[in-house]
Amino acid sequence: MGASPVDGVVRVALVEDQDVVVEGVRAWIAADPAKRAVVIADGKTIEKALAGPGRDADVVVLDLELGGETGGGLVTGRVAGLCDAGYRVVVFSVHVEPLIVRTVLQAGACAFLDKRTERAQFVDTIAAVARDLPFVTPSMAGGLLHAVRLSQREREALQYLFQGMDHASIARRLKKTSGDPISAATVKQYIERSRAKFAAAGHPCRSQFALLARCMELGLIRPEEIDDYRPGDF
Amino acid sequence: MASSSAADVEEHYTRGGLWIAIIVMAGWHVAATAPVVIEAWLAYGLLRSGALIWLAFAAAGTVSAVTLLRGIGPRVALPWAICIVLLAGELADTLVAPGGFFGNHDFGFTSAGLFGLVVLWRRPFAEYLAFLVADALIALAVLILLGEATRAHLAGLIVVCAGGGALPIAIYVGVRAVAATARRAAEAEDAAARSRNARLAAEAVQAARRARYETIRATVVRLLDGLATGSLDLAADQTRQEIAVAVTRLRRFLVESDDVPDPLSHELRACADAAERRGVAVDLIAAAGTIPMLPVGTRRALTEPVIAVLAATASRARITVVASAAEVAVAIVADARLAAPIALAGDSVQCDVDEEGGQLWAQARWTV
Repeated sequence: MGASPVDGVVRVALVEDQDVVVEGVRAWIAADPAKRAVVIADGKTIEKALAGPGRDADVVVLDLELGGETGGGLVTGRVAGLCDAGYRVVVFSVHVEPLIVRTVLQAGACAFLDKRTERAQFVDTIAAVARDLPFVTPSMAGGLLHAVRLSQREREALQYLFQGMDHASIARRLKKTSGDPISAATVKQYIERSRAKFAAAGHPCRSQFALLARCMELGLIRPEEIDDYRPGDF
Repeated sequence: MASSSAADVEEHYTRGGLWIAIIVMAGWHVAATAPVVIEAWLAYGLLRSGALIWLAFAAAGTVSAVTLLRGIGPRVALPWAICIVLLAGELADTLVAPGGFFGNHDFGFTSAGLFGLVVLWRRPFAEYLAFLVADALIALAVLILLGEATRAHLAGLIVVCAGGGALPIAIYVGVRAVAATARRAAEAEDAAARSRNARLAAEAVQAARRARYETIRATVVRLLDGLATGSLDLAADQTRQEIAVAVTRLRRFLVESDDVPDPLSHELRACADAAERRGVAVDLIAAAGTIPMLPVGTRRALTEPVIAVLAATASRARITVVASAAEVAVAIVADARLAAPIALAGDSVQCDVDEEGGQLWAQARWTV
């Protein structure tokens, strides 16, 4: 399990009960031209996926709906335990309702991927999460929108991301007071700063601390700001 | 937690009991005590008759009854202030009454018990019992101070306490028991009604889901049939688009929940369904935030751009709703090309449209 940012190939453990999805994920990761990740274990339950080599995974990709394990329910309640155990968790699910997204992120998950629409971002997300970078997918943006105190620009950027715009399109819409569009890099900064604020307010676990530390390195959030976003402050 | 209707039923019975207590108190004061006071007045004069104490009791009873029936006044201070007046009245009456505590003209002890019942009607039973004990202790203290605490008098005091306390305690406990039974019955009735409503709602949701499933099934069966017989060309764009749409609809069917119906979400889903029937794959994302109740005209204006863009969409669309109490933004991103500008149904909603690289973004935004 990853204590410090991963520099080499990211080791992925996959918790998924549908064989077709397991095959699909393996194929996407194998097809990555940069070979940034490798699946070292998979299982239909959390215990099976992490029993053998999976326990050394840098990132755990978790399907929320594990029919056999939960009898049809969602395993949102298991996310905090995995994060407390030191894993970086990426949730990969069709249950993309903002409330569910917010719940798993609050429990310490590093990222949320919508099974329906965010396949293209799969390997990018895994690679970013393994390096403790504040990565935000469109489905995550919906969960973050009403969860922390955001500036007007941060809120607008998240809202456009949630609606399905890429950074360049968001930049075109967010104009400066002079009327000129802002840069895509600035949009990225707004979105990553929202993620940092959310991490500061969420469940304290190793991956969230690592994410916050990286955000400080990147200048997205100052140490003295962190207490401002603790639960109950907004 | 008791439902409001069950609590109302209990209050109805408790208030009925209060009327009983008031009628007993007033009846006792007028029919039983007043003649005794008048007789003593005529025989022994105003001061020894206890008439002034009788008037003080009448005033205390009236104030308590009026405040309780109107539901006003301090909850603790006023009842106990009146109780002190009643106990002082009892003490004074016992001291001045011709014949003392066991004489024919001492009405204070029994009256205090009945008046205390009304005064402490909204207070816990323990407080009323404490008041009755204080009432009895005052009588006992007077007997001791006057040197009348003989064995016969103490036995008499016990009999008077039992006799005087039995009626008000029976009223207090009886009314509370009846009110509690009525509340439980009302709660059971409420629970049965809620269960009935939940069942009917669940059946309605189930029927709607079954109808939607039948629609989806027809498409899926045709596609599976085509795949099995080899009549479908998997390389053709149209076939792949049809499969993509069928898969999207099946997935949405599996994850959607209609337990908390929201009119705007319903209307957007209807728009998405219609587009899917003609081959567009639609991702309708659950709303971020809680959608406030909106007038029909506003909802229509918010869905208008979605309908217009979906009609011009070639293959894929993503619909999102961001909501708060003061703002609702409905947006669609799709590979669409609009032939005509979007016509808005009302002026409470602002519409923005932007096109870039074959992707069209439209947003309808309502603000307070």
